[in-house]
Amino acid sequence: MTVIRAEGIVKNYRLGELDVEVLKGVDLEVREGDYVALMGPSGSGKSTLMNILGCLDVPTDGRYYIEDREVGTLSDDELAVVRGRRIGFVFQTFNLLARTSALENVELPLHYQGVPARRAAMAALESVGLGHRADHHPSQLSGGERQRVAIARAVVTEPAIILADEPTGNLDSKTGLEILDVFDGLSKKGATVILVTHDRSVAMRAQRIVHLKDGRVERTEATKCPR
Amino acid sequence: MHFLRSFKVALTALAANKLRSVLAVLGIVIGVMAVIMMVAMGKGAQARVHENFQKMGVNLVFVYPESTSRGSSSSRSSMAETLTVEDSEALAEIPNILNVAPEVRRTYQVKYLNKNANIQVVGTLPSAVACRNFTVERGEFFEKSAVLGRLRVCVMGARAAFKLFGSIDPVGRQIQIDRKNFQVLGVLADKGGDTWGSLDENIYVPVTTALYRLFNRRYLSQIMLQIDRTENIDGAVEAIEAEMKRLHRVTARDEPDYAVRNYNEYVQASQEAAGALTVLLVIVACVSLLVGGIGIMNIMLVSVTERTREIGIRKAIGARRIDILKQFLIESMAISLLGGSIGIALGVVAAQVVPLLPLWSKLSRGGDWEAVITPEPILISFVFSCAVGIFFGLYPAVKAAKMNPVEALRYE
Repeated sequence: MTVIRAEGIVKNYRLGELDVEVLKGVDLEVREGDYVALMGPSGSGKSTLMNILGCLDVPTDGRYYIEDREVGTLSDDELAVVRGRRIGFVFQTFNLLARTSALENVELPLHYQGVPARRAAMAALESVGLGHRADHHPSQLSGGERQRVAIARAVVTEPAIILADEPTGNLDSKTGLEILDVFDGLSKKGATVILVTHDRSVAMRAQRIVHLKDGRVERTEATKCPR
Repeated sequence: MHFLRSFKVALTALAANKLRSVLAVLGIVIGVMAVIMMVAMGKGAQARVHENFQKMGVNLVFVYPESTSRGSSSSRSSMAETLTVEDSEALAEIPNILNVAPEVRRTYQVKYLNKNANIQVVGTLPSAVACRNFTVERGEFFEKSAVLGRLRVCVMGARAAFKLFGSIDPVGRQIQIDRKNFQVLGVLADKGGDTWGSLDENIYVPVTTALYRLFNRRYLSQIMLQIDRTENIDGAVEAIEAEMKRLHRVTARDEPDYAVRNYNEYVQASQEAAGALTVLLVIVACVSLLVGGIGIMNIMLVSVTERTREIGIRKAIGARRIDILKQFLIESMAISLLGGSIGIALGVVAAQVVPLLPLWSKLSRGGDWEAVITPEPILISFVFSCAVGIFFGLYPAVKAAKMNPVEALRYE
């Protein structure tokens, strides 16, 4: 099943008087269970593409479908609902809420959906090995633990895709590998993962690498990673 | 998200910046406290006005002399020589008039042994006791026989008695008014009427004694009439005007040399003034409450800017605009409700304590002032502080709700 279908995605930004074309027509298709890496130099538009794939932003032109539903034309509030239910974000800077426990952080997406959260959140925390740290605040957790809480938060809603933007960027190499192991585990369980990175060794963990350059898909590379 | 949970989140956010939150709450506390206090004091003032007038007597009509262009040369109306004892006797015949008390007054030097003071001496009739709601505390008031006989007797107001006699009982003793001997027949109870010219500071003598044996004049300072019922006052005033016109032979074109005043109208005017004062005070207090609201808006704007990243995160994981709006509105409401509750509590306490302070009695010239606490201002203040929280928190909350998640996430 196709989870994501992007057709001719164009994104322009207005900078003062100039129109800047960041994405100039991107096509992408991701099927259920895929593990895709997005790579590209700075200025290639990978963050912009990431934002559009994650429904944080809408394309200027082109069509974007999540689970066969067109989302490129949705309103801000409708996009928020899609984000909450179908997408799980993992950021480079973790982006957990301070002064809030790990458990409460993981519960948050479910609260916004208005569904009971406690049990699902605990389960998600345990699945990343942090059940025993449920009451800790981010300031009391290490970088790797924080990222794992973020991953738990991303999966707690059982989203269609997990979007990770440089998830190991703020971690040391050892912890970074641990986190990539977590992603591997998720992929093995059937999750659909899109990972943006500039680091080739990280990208090699995926099944294929989509190379972006100057706002377009330059090439797609299959890795030797087994499914 | 459940309201209670949102409230808890709001409190956590406020606790993160304790000093700032305390200052915002303080602004509301002061505003609400001011409102509660002003209403309580204002209502106390109104009650006091009402009480004083009750003490003075109800359903009173006064006839005053007026100096006219053709009248006497004296310009002060109390000295205008136009009202006579005959006038008051004629007025007494008008139906619905319960009591008539003519008065003439002048200040004299009054002596007892080696103590002397300048005291106002008022010549009147025994009917003054009913008219003015006097209570004779010691001894008795002079009777008709004293008036007929122009006897040199007197009754002292409570404060006049204290001035000359201290704690000694004046009844039966002799005082000198303008160096003439007068016997004290009685002392009146303290009335505390300080509305105008304290009655407790007068000495009362028979009007005839005053006119013929003391003042050496023939004209009254005023005639006080008590009407039997409030409904009859307007009719009585008309009758009094007509009778006075007849007695003084005033034609249509003349200026009358008297004035008839319905005391109840004056009372009403005073009460309205007290009421207006209350309203004014409350408006001022409301202004301070609004300033507190501006403080909330200020704080929330800063808070929203500081938490731009947090707003971006929340939006990324599914918060819609309304979710963000609610979150920040609840926060500003938490400030105003907290401030409102504390302000109400402090206001109620202060309204009761301040009148007891020595500074207060100095400022209010010794009057007894009790604040009146009623549930309405408390309820209104509570609702008002809710409203302030919502109103002044709205703009920052909308600002937060409208934030672009991509930009918000990039914020340092």
